[in-house]
Amino acid sequence: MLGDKTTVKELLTDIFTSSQTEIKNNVVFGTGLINETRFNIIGTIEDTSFGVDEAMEMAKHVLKIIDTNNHDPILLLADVVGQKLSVRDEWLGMYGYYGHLLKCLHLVRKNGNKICSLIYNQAIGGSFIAFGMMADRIFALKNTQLAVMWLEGMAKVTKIDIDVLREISKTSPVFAPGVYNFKKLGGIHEVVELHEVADKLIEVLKEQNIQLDNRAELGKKYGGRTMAYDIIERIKNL
Amino acid sequence: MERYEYKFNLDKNIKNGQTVKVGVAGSGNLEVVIKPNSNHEETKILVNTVISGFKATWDEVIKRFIAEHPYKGLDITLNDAGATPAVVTLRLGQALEVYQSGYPHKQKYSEADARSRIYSLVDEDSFTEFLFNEASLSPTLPQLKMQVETDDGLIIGTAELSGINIAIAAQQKDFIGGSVGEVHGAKMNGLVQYAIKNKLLVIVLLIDSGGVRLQEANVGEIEISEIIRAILDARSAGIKTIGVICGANGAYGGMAIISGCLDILIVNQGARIGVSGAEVIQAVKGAEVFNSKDRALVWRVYGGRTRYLQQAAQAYTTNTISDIRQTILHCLADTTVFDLKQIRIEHEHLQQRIKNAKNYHEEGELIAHQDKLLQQQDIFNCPDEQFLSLADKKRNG
Repeated sequence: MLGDKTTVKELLTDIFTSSQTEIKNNVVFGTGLINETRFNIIGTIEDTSFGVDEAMEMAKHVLKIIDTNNHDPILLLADVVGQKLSVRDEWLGMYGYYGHLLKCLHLVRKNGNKICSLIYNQAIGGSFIAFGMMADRIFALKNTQLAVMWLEGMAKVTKIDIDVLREISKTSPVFAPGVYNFKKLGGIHEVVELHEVADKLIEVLKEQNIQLDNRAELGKKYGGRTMAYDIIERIKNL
Repeated sequence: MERYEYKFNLDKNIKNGQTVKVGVAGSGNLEVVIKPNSNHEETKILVNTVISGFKATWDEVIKRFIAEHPYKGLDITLNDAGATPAVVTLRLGQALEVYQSGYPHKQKYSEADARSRIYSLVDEDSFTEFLFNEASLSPTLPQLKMQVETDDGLIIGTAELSGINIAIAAQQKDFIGGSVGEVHGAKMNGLVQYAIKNKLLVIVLLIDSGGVRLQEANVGEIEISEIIRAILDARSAGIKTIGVICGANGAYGGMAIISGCLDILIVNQGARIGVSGAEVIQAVKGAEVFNSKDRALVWRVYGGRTRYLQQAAQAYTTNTISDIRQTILHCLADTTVFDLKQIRIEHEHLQQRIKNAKNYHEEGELIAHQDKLLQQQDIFNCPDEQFLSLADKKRNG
């Protein structure tokens, strides 16, 4: 795994024709060009434990985009090993800092900026919710480790035999880690190779209405999430 | 999964009631659903249980119940997750009572299940439960040989609070920890979208949950994200979103993050809000970093009083349902608008909280160094009234 890790530098070089970025509090930020199209870049660097300081750093850059009347699309880069396991961060109310970042992303979407996210290396646990899942279009590199919890941990906590979990995982995408499982549930729009990312980003910007959350519908279409979309629609239309 | 069916031809009449659901299909407990039977002369009992090999015991329990309550015209379903005969008899009795006289009003929030919480909080006869007459069952739990509940642990609908139309949801804390699975999450999302479509003014979430349901982990996580997007859309549409976190499970994991996206959080002394629980931090970082058995410490890190003192929660209340109702009503008067200006204020406030924290790790340390008066008054243990008065003095500078 260590050997085939992608670095932020590789990402930026492969995706953008040119880019200017800085790093602070484990957050990479700046701008990049894909041919003539300018992107705002905000994301976490390799192996980030996502805590209070990281969330604030990201929120600051999102707010700056709105403040400077910038309407360029945003690329969120996410490599998160998990929420920061820290007494101090939990005490400060990490959930509220995540919430703050999510609100900022909501407002920048309202501001007219299109938002894409690219998950690289890994996205584990609740930290994936904090911003990676908040994009209009969510991409993951093919070799990304994606998990809420590994099956071993799940077996331990739920007291369900790991062999049972493994067996069901063969046919069900509902709880087992993996980018294709998330895709089947509608949680990831596309699984891509690094060399495809630039073209995909440009393509997506041409799509209409990408700001509408279509994940539940995709989950139904791909057959991974059979009930959610119909339940949501049913209740909405009561 | 075993299924036993019983049919009885009985004499005694019972008032033809509405469908009721009582109990929770959580470990050692069961859900009882009573409906009027289309065949008025017959009473039918269906037992679904995850524990096999106890047919004789069930025969006995059902026989005794029918001997004591020989009512005709009932259609009873038991969704059992390993309840003892005593619990089964108790729940059946309670369900019959609710069938005849409605859901009882509870005084203490901690003693009420999800449905009772709603019935006890909102205006009399104003609650309409959505999807009540159908089973919206988790598609995954049966594969894991786990008992399903007809509401998947989330009760949703509309009600009135002092005459104001609201959308309301309550998490069933004892059904797999109030966790968010596929159906649970979709229901919460659907309710928020219903509120937007029908231009309701308020959404109240009675949160009591450990977060994503691990048995449906990926779906749960995705749906938390979808709910967040729906909630923020609701807020942009001017709907006030209120989270009541006054239950034993608190708001953890994904539910904590959802809490962080609401307008108003109402907490009490028992509340806890956090992304990772103390046990998780201890398991990874060691007991010297976080001793999860130290309850006082846990509450100084995550607890309702800490959240109110640091202004992460907007309102503080007690465990009494009438107080919680008053607090919600009070919060409805809040006129803060969700816009860029407010988010900038929030940004400053959150920045300030980090700055104030210096190198402390929990609220007790901060208070010991910065507010001797609060420390002397035993701020984490003093009575609610005293806490509120001291905390409000501090909050107002």
